[in-house]
Amino acid sequence: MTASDHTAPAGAVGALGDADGQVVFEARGLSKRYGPVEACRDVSLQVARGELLAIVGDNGAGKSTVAKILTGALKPDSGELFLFGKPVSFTDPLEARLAGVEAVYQELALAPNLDVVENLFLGREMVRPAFHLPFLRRLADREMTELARRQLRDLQIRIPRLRGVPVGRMSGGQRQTIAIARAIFWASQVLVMDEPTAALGVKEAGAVLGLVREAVARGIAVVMISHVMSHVVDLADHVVVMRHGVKVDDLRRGEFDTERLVRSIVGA
Amino acid sequence: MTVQAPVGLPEPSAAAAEDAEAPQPLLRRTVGLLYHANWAGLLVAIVAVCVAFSLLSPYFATAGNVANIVRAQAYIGICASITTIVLIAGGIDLSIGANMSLSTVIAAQLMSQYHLAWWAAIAITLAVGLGIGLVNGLVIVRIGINALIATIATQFLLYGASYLAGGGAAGDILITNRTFVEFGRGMVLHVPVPGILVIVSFLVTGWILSRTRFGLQVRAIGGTPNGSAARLAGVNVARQRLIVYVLSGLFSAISGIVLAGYTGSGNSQEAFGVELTVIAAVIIGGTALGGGSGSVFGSFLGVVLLGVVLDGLLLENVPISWQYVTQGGALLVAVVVDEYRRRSQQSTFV
Repeated sequence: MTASDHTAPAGAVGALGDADGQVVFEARGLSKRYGPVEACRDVSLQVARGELLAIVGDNGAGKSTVAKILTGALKPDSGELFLFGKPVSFTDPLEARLAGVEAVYQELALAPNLDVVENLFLGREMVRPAFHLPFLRRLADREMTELARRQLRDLQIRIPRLRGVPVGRMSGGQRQTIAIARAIFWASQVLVMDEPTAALGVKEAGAVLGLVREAVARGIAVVMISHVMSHVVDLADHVVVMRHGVKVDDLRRGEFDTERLVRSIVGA
Repeated sequence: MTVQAPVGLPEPSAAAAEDAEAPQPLLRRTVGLLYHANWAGLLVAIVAVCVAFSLLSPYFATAGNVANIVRAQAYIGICASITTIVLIAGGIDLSIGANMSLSTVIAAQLMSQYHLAWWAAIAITLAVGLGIGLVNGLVIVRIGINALIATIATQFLLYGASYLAGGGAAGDILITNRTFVEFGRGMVLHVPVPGILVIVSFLVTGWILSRTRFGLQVRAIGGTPNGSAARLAGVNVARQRLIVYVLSGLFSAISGIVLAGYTGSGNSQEAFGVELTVIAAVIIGGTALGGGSGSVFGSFLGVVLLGVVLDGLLLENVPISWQYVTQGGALLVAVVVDEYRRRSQQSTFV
């Protein structure tokens, strides 16, 4: 049994198996003001299945505002979101998550006092009858551990202790890895990551990016905010450049390199 | 002192045996668990206190006295088991002492005034306790009132209600039903009945916490402020928190029944201030006041330690005022230790 067996919403991943390139998630005309400050104005973007869209821009360009709107953490003043062509509106990140849009934030994603397996299954626990009583259910610990172990091995994630060690005691890279793995694990449609490698060492960042690549390869539509140009140039299929809250460039692979992106970001 | 064990009863099989990458021998695992949970320190403290009081009093280390300690502390133990869950969930219930007192009065009144059978009195008392827990839960979860304030309010309300339920009399309402008092005084195979009830409550709450979906979600809720991580993971935070307070009310009523059986009476002040003793025992046992971590086994050790100390003081004829000083001091020490644990953990959590 794979993770997608239990969760993939009807007609999602399976039905689209050969439809690479189909637009999964789309935003049209997103605008958001904080009083006199216009955080973003009329931003539109789309991301397709198995594609990585990078949003780049200087500090205060409105990237994080857009990411928060995409994941339901923030309500736009105007603009619409479409998931598989159908209009959606999220009142909070949970709704977005249930619809298949997973956000990876370092602080929000995991319960620091739970171990890896507990975090992976939180809210979607597997249970089995307890003491042979029909009305009493206990956690199927063995099954969950086994499934988690297999999936993580599949993703080539090496975390020494899956049980008994709270993730709060793990490194930032390991936690980030677990959060992304959970999104892949539950076969989300869209993964939105705000600076996934910020505060990580070079080696840890490499591992996280490897996992992002794996998510893309598995057909997840990934939106990644990053200010590390080398990561963007390496991974992105598609780059949206923002400046002063406005989208100023929308480039496909082949149309950008580091120099081109930097020029666009600073407006030279 | 700095590290916390995973919540719940020790998991001999699931925790480490399934972790094929890092198999550990049973002995090292046990020692590791003791160290991490700080249970070793508690056990040492319990043994030290026992040795000291045994030297001071020839009566301390007798079977009769051990049974006395068990009977006298049983209602604290039953309540401590559920309070562990309440605190781990990031909540607090200060109305447990008042709920217990009301339970003793209701049970006593139902039998002496209304001549109900013991089992009917128990059933109604439990239902009332559960209802009180439900009210606490609704006020805290649905209306969003701070748990500390909400349960202080219900505490006063319940003390008033106990007084009224006792017919306005401040004195004891005697319980003459022999079966009922067995719950507080009886012996089965040389084991005090209340002791069995304590063990059962710790086993049940430990199982709930470490083995059920509810327990896992409760731990997740306590792990982040307002249970944000749990909510994002799809956990019905409001419902689970409500259930936590309902259980707290139910267990308080059970404690009240055991207490009424032990004293053979109902009294509106019978468990006055007990909530602080219970919370002190739970925190001494390693549960975080701010939620997220702790264990019912630790709470059990905390109850034993406090119980042994109080019994020893009693045998030494130390005046009651000094017992209050001891209990208050224990609570103070516990919260100070909790604060240090919290700080050292914060640095680990980044």
